[in-house]
Amino acid sequence: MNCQTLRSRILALPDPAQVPADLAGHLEGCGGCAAWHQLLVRVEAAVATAPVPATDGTARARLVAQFRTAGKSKPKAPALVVPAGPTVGGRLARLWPAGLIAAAILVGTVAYLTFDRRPGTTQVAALPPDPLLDKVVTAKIELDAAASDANRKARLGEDIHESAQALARVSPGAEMESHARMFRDVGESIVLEGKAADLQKDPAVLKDCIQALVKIEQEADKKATEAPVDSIRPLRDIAKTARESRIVLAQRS
Amino acid sequence: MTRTVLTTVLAALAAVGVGAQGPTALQPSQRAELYKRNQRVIERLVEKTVVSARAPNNPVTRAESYDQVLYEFTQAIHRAKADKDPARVADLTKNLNSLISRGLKPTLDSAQKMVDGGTGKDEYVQTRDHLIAQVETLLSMLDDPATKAILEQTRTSLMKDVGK
Repeated sequence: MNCQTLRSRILALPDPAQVPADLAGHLEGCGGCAAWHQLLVRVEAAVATAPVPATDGTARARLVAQFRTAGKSKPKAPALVVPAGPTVGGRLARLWPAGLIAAAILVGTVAYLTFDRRPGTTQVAALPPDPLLDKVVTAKIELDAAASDANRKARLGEDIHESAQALARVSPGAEMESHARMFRDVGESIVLEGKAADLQKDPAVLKDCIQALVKIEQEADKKATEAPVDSIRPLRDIAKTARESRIVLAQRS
Repeated sequence: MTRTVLTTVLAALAAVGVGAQGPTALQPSQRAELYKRNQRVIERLVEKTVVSARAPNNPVTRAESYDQVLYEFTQAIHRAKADKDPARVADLTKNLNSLISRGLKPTLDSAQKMVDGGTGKDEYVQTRDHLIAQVETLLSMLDDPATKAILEQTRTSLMKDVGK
């Protein structure tokens, strides 16, 4: 037992002069606590024997009146044991006005961005430049400038195929069908180009084109095995177009 | 000390990596959204690229292929403006600028030479009138000075007499 515990237990006794045996042992071996105990016993005795000062009764009447007034008022709730410091929850609870303001700002911002501010207009989120649009425009410019270029068309096919690969999971259905149609048009154009190619002038002119089509066929078939249902057919169509086109070109070369 | 230096170096490398990702490093959902918005323009461009490629020796047919492409650009820019989407207006205008200056303009020069040589004047005049209408519509709705200047040049070129 340490000194603090001993002193707390003695203060709780109805008569500090009557110390139980377990506390007495500590007092015998501890000079500080023994001196403190002797002082406490003297204070207790002095309070009990202290004379009551003379009074005219006014103070007593005031005290009784205070008790009567307190008795008429609403009884107080039992006192709660307040911890030494506020808890985290208590601190946060005191911040509720700031939380309310923050929530109002958040709701207001979301509503502002979500709903139309004027009737008849729509607000859309800004997106970065479209890479496919850029590539398709470049293909149109370059192919218009060239008399014929099967390999350039194959690159356009690769661009369309790459876009289809990116969209297969997130945009099955109409957008994927659109990609398959565009790829079919490009495939047919590659075949026409390949049939007209002058292989005597350049026997290897279709080699890169065939390799590109083989790669597209493999990738589209692979993607079809893991894509959502509405993307499977467009991917299979792309693979089929690539296969048929490269077979024709291979027979030609 | 080593830990601090290593952390700083890794953070710098990560920043460089993120910064090095160009505009093509888009999320699939972003690409899907872009495709939905530009689908008609892209489809028309591919269709007319293929059509144009069938006439490698006829620049008038190639010039004609720009008529519907310009129409789709006009519609797309109009929609982007109505949607209050300046980023998309800028993207479409940039691509339109490239298409006219590097695609339509040289194709028209070739077509005019062909017509001056005595071939396909009626076809050219019809194509020219359609293109002038498209160019004027675009001029009335575009704000970008560089693209407007190219459109003005194209209109002047189209209005030149040919096939005398």
